[in-house]
Parts: sequence; C-alpha cells; structure tokens
Amino acid sequence: MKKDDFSNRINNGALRPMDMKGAKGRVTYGILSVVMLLHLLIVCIPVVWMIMLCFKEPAEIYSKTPTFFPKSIDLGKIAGLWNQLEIYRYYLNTLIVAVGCVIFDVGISGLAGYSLSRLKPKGSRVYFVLVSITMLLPATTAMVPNYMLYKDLGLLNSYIPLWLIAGMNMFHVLLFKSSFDGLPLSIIEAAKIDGASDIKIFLKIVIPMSMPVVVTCSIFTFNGAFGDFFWPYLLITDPEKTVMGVRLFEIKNSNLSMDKQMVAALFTLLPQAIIFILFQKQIMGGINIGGVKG
Amino acid sequence: MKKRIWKTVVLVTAIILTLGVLGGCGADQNAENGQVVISVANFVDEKTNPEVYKSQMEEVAGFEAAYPNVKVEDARWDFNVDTFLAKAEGGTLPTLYYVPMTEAENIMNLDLAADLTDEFEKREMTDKLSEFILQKISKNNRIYLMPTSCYDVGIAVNIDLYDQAGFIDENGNLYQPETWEDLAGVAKKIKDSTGVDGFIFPTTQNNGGWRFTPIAWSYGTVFETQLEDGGWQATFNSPECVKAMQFVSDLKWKYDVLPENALISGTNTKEQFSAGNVAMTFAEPNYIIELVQNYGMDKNKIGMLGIPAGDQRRVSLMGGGFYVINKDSTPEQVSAAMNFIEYRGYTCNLTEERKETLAKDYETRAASGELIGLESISPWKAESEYGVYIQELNRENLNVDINHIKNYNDKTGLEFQQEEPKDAQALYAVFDNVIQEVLTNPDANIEGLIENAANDFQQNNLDYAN
Amino acid sequence: MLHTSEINLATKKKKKKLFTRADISGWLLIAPSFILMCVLILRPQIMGMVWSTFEMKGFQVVKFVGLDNFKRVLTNTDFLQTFINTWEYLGWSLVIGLLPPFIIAIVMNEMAVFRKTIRTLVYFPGIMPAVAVSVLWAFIYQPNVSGMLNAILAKFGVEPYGWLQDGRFTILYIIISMTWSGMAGTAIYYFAGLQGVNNELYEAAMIDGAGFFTRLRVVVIPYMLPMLLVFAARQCIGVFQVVDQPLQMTGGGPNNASMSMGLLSYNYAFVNYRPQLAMVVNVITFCVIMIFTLIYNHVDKRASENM
Repeated sequence: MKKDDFSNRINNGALRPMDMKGAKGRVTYGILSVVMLLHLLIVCIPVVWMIMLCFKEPAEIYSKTPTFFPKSIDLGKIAGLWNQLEIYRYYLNTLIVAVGCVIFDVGISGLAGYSLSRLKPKGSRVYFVLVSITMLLPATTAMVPNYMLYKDLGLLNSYIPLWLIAGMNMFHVLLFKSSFDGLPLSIIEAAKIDGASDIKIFLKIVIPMSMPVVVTCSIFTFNGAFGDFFWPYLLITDPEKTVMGVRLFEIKNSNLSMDKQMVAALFTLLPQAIIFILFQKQIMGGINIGGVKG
Repeated sequence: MKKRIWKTVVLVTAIILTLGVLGGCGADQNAENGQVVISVANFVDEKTNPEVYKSQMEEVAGFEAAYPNVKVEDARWDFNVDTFLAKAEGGTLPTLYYVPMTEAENIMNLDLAADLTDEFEKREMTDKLSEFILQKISKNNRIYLMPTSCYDVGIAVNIDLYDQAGFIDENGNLYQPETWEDLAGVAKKIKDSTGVDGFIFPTTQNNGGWRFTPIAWSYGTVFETQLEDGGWQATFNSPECVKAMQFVSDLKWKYDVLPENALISGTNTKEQFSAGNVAMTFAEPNYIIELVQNYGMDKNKIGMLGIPAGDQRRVSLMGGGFYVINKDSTPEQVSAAMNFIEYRGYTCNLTEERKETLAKDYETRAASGELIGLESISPWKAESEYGVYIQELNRENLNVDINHIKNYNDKTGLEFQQEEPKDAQALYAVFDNVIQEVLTNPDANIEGLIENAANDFQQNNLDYAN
Repeated sequence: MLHTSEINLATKKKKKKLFTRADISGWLLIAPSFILMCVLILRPQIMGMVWSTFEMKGFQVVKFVGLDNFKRVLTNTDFLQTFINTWEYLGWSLVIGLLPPFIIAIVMNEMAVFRKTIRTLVYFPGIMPAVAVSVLWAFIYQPNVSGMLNAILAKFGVEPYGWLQDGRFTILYIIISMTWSGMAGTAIYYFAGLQGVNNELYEAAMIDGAGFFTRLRVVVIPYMLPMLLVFAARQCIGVFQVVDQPLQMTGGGPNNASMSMGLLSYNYAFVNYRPQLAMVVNVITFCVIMIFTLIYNHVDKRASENM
C-alpha cells in the first residue's frame, strides 16, 4: 500500500508511476537517486565546511592539519558581529537596488523578448542580430566610458545606473523570447479575436503563463544584484546608500580576521537563500498549470 | 486572497522604487559659502575598526577647528586597481588619496597629480627630502607627490620555531643570517628540527619578481640599463642573475625548505606564516601590522631580521607610499590638503601640536594591538627633526621584546635600492614565470629561462620605453 | 510557428505601408532594451575599436598610430600561448561544463521526495559570494597534505599532487571549480524549463514502448534543445572571456599556463594603464568569437530559422 503511494509520486518527469511496477524502472530510479545524492554531497561538503570556518579561529583555518569541525561553536560571535557591523542597515538599501533591478530586467527584457517572439515588427531581425552580437563582446573596457556617461548624466550616488545595467541583460531577452516561443498560440489567438490589446495580452495571459521563466530570471537578477559589488562600489560613495556587496568588500579589506569575514559573507547570502526558498513554488508552478487555469 | 498578495507586492515595490529614486535625486552637492571642501581617502572602516576610526575623526575635528574654512569629507575609498582608472577618467577621485610607491610613475605619467612644488618651497620641505625620494616624486624638476612613509624589506621569523631550532641564544638574541646561503642553512635546520617549512615567499601576481629583485641585486644583477639614445636595454641575462635564480632553485631542490605549493599569492604567504606553517618570510613593517590585525598573529611571536647579503652587496628594496593631491583641485584645496597632511604629522615640519598628534597616533596604534618599534628608513633626511622624533616615539612606545626586532632596526652596512625604473610590474611578471618554472621543475635550464625572460622583456616592454 | 507566419502574412497583405501599427507597437516594446543596448554596450565597444588604433594616455586619445598597437600585442611573446590557452579553456568547458547541469536538472526532476530541499541545496553554490568560493577552492586544491583532495588521496595511499601547479592541467582544474559554482544556476534554469514538458508526452511515448532514456531522447531533448543551445553559446562566450577565476586562483600561472585573453586584456587596462592594448585584445577576441558564431549559425540551421 505504502509502496503504491510512493510509485504514484514518481510522476514529475520521464519516469512514470507505471514504471515502478517493473524492476527496470526501480533500478533506474535507484541509480538516479544515487547520482542525486553524490551531487548533493559534492555541493554540500564544501558549503558546510565554509560554515564551519565561521566558528574557527584564524590559526585553526590555516592550520596544516585542518579539522572539519571547529574546536568550539560560539553562536555569540555571530550575534556580536551582526550587531557590530549593523548589517540590517544595508539590507534595506540592497533590497531597493535588487527589487529595482528585477523590475527593470523583467520589464525591459521581458517586453523586448515578447516583441521578438510574438509581434515580430519589421526590422526586429536587426535587433535580434545585435542582441546576439552584443552577447559576444568582451566587456573589460566598456566600464570606463560607461562610468563617464553616468557621471555626465548626474547619476552618481543614485541607484538608477544599477537598474539600467540590470535592464540590458541581453541573455534574458533571448531567454524570454525562447520561453514565449513555446507558449500555446491558441489562447493568445482567442484573446486577440476577443479584441484584447497587445499589452493586455502580455499582462493577463503571457506573464501568468510564463511565471517560471519570469520568476527564475527575477531570482537570478535579484541574487546578482544582492551580491554585486563592482558598479555599486564605483558609483555610490554616500555611506547612507551603501549596499551589501560593497560592504562585504569593505569588510574583506578591513582588519577583521578571516573567520569573521566568513560570517559577513554568510550574512550576504542569507536573504538570497530565503528569497529562493520562498519563491520555489513559482518556479515549480509550471506552464501547464498556468495554461489550464488561464 | 492571491490577488491581495500581488497587490501588496506591487504596492511595496512601488514604495521601494520611489524611495530609491528620491534617494538618488537628493544628491549631496551642498554648496558651502566660502568653505573649502576636501575629500580624503583611506580612513579606516567605522564598524570594523571603531577605535582607530574614532581617533581619525577626532583628528579631523581638530583639524577643522584649526582651519575653520576647511571641511574634510570621508571619501570612503582606498586605491585599488579595478576602480582607479574609471574614477580618474570620471574626475571623481578624492582630493587626497594614498597610493603605493609602485604607482608613482603611472600617476605622474597620466597627469593625475597636482603640482606641489610651490607648496614644498613654501613649507621649506624640499631640502629636507632625502635624495632618492626627491627623484621618485618629481618629473621635469617639478614635485607631484607627497611622501608619507618608507619601508625597507627585512626577514620576518616565527619566534617559537626559531627558538626550537636553537637560533635564539640564552640572552634572547636572534641569530642574524649573514648571507642567503646562511639563511637557507637556517631554514634547513628549522625544517629538520621542527618539521615545519623554513621559508616562504609569494610567486604569483608579480609578487615573485618583486621579492626576487633584492636577492638578484645582492648578487650583482643589473636589470635595466639606459642606452645613449635614451632607449632601454634589459641587462639581466647575466651570470649574476643566473646565480641569484640558482639560489631560489636551491631553496627548493637542494635545501628543500619551501612549501610544496609553488603558486603562492601574497595572501597565501601571510596565511601560512601567521598560522605558524612556515618559519621565515620577506616582510616590512606594514606587513607585520597586517599579520597581527587581519591574521590574528601574536605580535610577541614575530621577529624581524635584516636582509642577508649576496656575494656582491647587502641591499634591501625600499618602497613606501605617497599622498596624491588630485590634479583637478583648486589652489585652495591643494593648500588645505597639504595642511591636512601636515596636521596629521606626515611632513617633516613639527610643531608642538603636531608632535602631540603623532604621539597620540602611536598610542592609538599601540592600543589597537599593533606591533610598535620597527624602524624603517624615512623619506626625510635622517638628521631632520622629524626623523629624530619618530625614532623617539618608536622607542618610547615599544611593545615587544627589542631583541626580536633589533636586527631589523640596525641598518649598518645596508644599501637601499628602489624598484627598477621602467615597467617594473612587467619585469616582475616575467620573473614570476621563471620562478614558477624553477620551483616546479628540478631540471629547469635556469640560464635559458633567464635568457628568454630578458628577450621577452626587451621585446614586450623595453622596446617601447623611452 | 505556423500560426505566426500566417498572422504575418495576413498583416502584410492588409497594408503595404512601411510600418504598420503593429510594427510600431512592437518596436515600442523593444525600444527601452534597444536604447540601453546602443548606449551601454555598442557605444563603448565602437569607441574601443577606434581606440585600438590610437596612442592613449589613460582614456584620453593622444594620436593615431594605425596598427602599431596590434603589432605590439601580436608580437608579445606571451600572446600565442595566451591565445592557445583560451581555446583550451573553451575545450575543457565543453567537456566538463556543458552536460552536468542538464543531467542534474533531469535527475532533480525525476526525484519524488524532498524536491524542495534538493532544489535549494543544488542551487546553493550559486549564491555563494565569489570571495567565499575562491577561498573554498584554494583549500580544495591545496597542494600539500592539508588540501581536501590530497587528504582524500592520502586515504588511498597516494602521494600529494600539485593540482593547480601542474601546468598541463591548470586550466582543467579551473574549469572544474567554475563548473561547481556555475552549474547551480544553469541547472535551475534547465529545471524550470523542464517544468514545461507536458507529462502526457511521456505517457504517449510510454505507450509506444519507449524506455526511460528513449523518452528523454524523444520528449525532453527536442523540447529543451533551443534552451540548451542558448546556454551552450553563452557558456562558450563566457569561458572565452574568462577573467576572474584565473586572476584569483593562479594569477595566470604557472608560467602563463592559465593566462587567458580576458586576463591579458584586464592586465593591459588596469595594471598597465594601457586601454588601447586591452582593446586590441578585445577586438581579436571579438573577431574570433564572431567567426566561431558564423560557422555555428551556418552549421546549425535551426538556430538561423529561429531568427
């Protein structure tokens, strides 16, 4: 009875509940599980090791005979640093930057991808080719001219350049395009016949149906913005506006010891982890569900 | 229910964005009437180093009180390679910032520094500069940089390991290796008796070449020679340089005192030394500060020796740092920035007030756990009032056993040399490669490698130097 | 596909104007992205290409020197090796980096339990700050006995190995570390893509008697191919321009064994203050990638049809 329950849950991918009735299917699932487990080990061991670093003394970290577990685990150290560094003050700034980046990214890249996929205006091929080309360009020297431009536009100490940079994610344009390419046309056609405008179709039909790609792109942009250091460091000198990535860099260059720097690094990835866990459902949401519920 | 969540999300987003935009608009161009504002880099971080930050801000307050028409802003920036060019081209570098000596040539070539000649004359400082520093900070007979401190390279040792290997006598004196071979022998004995690697030096990111130059000089190497037509010739494809490199190779293959890793960054070196995994390394006073503050090494466990000699000379590499005053500054800003430097006690001119500031600075540094007592060479002539006073402060505030560091402080018979004049970083890079090869390949053809290195450096760099 | 072309035909027949209303609204949607692209990507690139023929002082143009900068870069004795290295990076990344994220995404998708936990854990390396990742891998590749890999080797009685110091394979090891942190994000993208596969297709394939791997081949791969191609192209381009990892892990060593075009360009611009030479490297890199892309487009007709 219990076994049947389990078999029924194997319905997410190419393996179907039916397979679990035969030995071949079970072996396949077993092998896949082992692969998964191995991968998780490869991923987790170093991460756990990194967390352990937070609790070690500097000399323990660089010891010739490193141990996996620290000599003692002192949570007070983490709490103390949280208060000393006043990390929470930088969370809000970073949140503003990151949310703005997501909006610019999804807004600008999403619309462009939609237009490329569905509307295909005359000449958009030129744009598409340019998008593809720009993805090929090395970016090393673009930084200085762009910085000078932001300065001339009076955008120093403002988050706007950071949002604009997030908005020119050519990779996401292509990603949105290919995702929209895969949408069932019938629903859009039906809406068109009902006289819905392009914008309305985009907002009411395309976006809800493309939630997985929207959420995925958003999360990546959010995380990118949360950890980003380079442009904020260059553009924002006002201490009131400092973001986490810059803070982490400053901490790295300060006289804090390595273990404490690791704690600071953990503070940086905490919000990202939380956001990811919260929005998992949307990634899982799937195009099918969206399509059925319309 | 679901709709309400989305509405909340949209609302919150809108508020956040508005906050962001408004924040962006509130640019901080507060126009003070008649006030001179200078932005100053290199203050420490407030949260991670509160004591030092507090004392720095007290200094600023004191300065602003003494010069009421000047306002000092914390630029919250330190020189770093990635952002420097953008800031320079954008004209957003601070009024006053610190750069390592290695950048001096570039800063002057790029016309980023204000002409300080008149300020130097006005403050009667030009004559008090030591000759080599004057050379380094001037171009076409004009002075562009303000020297703050100099250092010369010595050898740091781990006191415990040195002691265990029997190199500290009953009176607490540290054994001073006279020659490089002598040092290798010491390292070998340490390894034999303690099992810990005897010596470490960095080999990547141009650090290898940089650390190698004083060894090469001491064996008589001349790296670059200016030709009569003004061009430059690489002259290190010589038996002297081969000999120096042979010594590096011997450290690995004959004495076997180096760590197994042959690709070591500057950071790795500090990590390994501070954790007690190696006994000796190259160091200068700032390096020691870092070992204590960032790597948690006990200052009483660090000793400093003088640099050993090669078969030709006993020579140490000298370096240091400069203040740069931004080229775009108004004369008032230049003057205010010079006053600020003077107020902080970095010029050779000392008033009672400034002596006090300096003395207080030493107290703060000692309180923050720094090792005090290492004596470097000074940018100012040794007999200058400044040089004497700093020496006095160093001795008064000494906070470790003097035996640990006196070998470094004793500069008798030591020559000082600055880094090579042309494309020093590229030269270091070339030698990084040679060193890496020599340390990973016991049968490396050192002569051939040096020959190739000289040709490469000539073709890639010196052919374009003038 | 059929539908769209019909619509296009229909609109074309209706009006013969240069731009129809639909075209205009289409372009309006593209406009923000287009403008940003022109200003922030194309403008500096074109400036840079011009600069590569000038003598410069910082970012100020001094005088036109024609191809002198190209001569200087190309005759640099390290250039050839750097160029070859860059292809080596690409080669290893195709061998190591291309399939694992896809395979992991598929395996993740098959799992029946702990799906959320698995997904979070798989993604975790993706949010590790670069600082932490570089510390981590320095520890893993530590060439003495204290290194993680050497400690494992020691358990089997194998002598410690130099890892990154072994110039023959330095690039391979760098690629492995890049794959570890880079594949997390890619796997999640693929996983999100897999959610779009209609389960009925599997069932249908099953009725036809297809086994697990056949189902993957006939259902998953065709569905995911466009996405795979985009990611593959992006990965190739990214790897071809790699800077950070060699910069942090080896500084380009030992003896230039891991120097990449990207790092060379970075060094020219930010260490030597010679942006014109950095631009020369970038122009060369760009041309290579461009040629590469043209060949790729030629070979893969599907990609050009999608345009």
